Amino acid sequence: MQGKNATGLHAELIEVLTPLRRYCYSLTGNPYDADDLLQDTLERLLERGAPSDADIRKWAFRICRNRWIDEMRFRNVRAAQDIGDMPDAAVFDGEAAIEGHIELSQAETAIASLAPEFREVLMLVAVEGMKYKEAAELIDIPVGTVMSRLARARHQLVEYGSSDGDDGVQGESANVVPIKRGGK
Amino acid sequence: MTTITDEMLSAFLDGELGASQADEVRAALDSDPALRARLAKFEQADATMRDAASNVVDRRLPQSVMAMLAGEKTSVAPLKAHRPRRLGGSRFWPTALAASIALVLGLTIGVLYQGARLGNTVGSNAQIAARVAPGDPLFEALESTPSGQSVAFGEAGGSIQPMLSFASASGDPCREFMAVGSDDAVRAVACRERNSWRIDFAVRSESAGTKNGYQTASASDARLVSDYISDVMVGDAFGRETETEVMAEGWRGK
Repeated sequence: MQGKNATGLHAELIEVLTPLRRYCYSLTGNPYDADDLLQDTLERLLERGAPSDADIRKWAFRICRNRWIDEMRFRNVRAAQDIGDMPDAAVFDGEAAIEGHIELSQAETAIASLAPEFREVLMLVAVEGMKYKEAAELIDIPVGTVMSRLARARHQLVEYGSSDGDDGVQGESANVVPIKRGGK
Repeated sequence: MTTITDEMLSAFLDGELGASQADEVRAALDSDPALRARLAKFEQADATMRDAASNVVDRRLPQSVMAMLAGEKTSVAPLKAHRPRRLGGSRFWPTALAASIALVLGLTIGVLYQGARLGNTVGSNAQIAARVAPGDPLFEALESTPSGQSVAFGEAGGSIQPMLSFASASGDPCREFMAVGSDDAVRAVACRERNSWRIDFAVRSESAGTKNGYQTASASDARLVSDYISDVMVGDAFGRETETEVMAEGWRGK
């Protein structure tokens, strides 16, 4: 497999940097972890390269996704092994947000209420403009699952908005089951 | 009247419905104000996602990412010097993974031996792979200490704490452990060979001068070790039962 040369890869990465950063955010749900994941992904890409015929956005998204899964698995293992008192186990998530003095916008707070798999499809389709089929291939799930996740993502955001009580929506919100925060 | 589900409405919004279903949704929208309101809400939900995304990308990129994209060369230097300290971005990453690994390859078996005297021992006569043989206190610690427990090591209050056990791609059982000395700590991954534990990866963190300083200083170093483990680990880390079993069998690779 002929790889992209370093300069070419570099240039292409700069082009997909913003979509990649958004995608990282859709997985992590907060901008701090997103930038960590972004850096991690870029490092991996620069280190390993990409096939010369690769669509760099797809390639980068896939690597990003795998890095995120590894990270989650690692966190879960650590939590399960009850070594939560190791400071490094806890430090990655959230601490920066507390220390960072950067306020999340209302939109970011709303998005943080979605589970990662919902955020992900909504980002890919509503922001990146992917077709369901493309998103399904990237995530490796059936197209029908993309469709149902999107519907649920939108439903939950609508409910999130109406439970704020600030947009004057009447009626239905009384029957709404509270949304779980932070995903499953 | 047909019921238009959220899924249909959502797919309609994305232009992903077939012609007949799309017509069905259009007809329903014509006659049903509540459905039109629902569609408007869905569009709003999308707008929320777009807003959040643009807030995120409007923030300054971490310096470390910019440096990487600028193609800046990084030199091999102590991890401490690389660790970004709240430069408007992440603090968890040294700028160059490769540089950090180059640094830690300087560890010798002596560094680990000395436990409490870990500091200032990264010498110029570095050896790359250390092997720890039976009879060595570190060997015993790796051989029989369950993850999460710590055993005394060296003379000045040092300790060894295995943290995690797992199977590597090569089939060897491996362990992540931390060796803590008075003014620094080493996080390392050791894999069991036939007659020894082989140190495959290690990162030394200097303490910030306080007794527990190494803990706060080591977040990014811990990440390096996590990354390394993610690369070499097959399957999940051992649970307690598996670890106990493997330990009882003398760490024979499965």
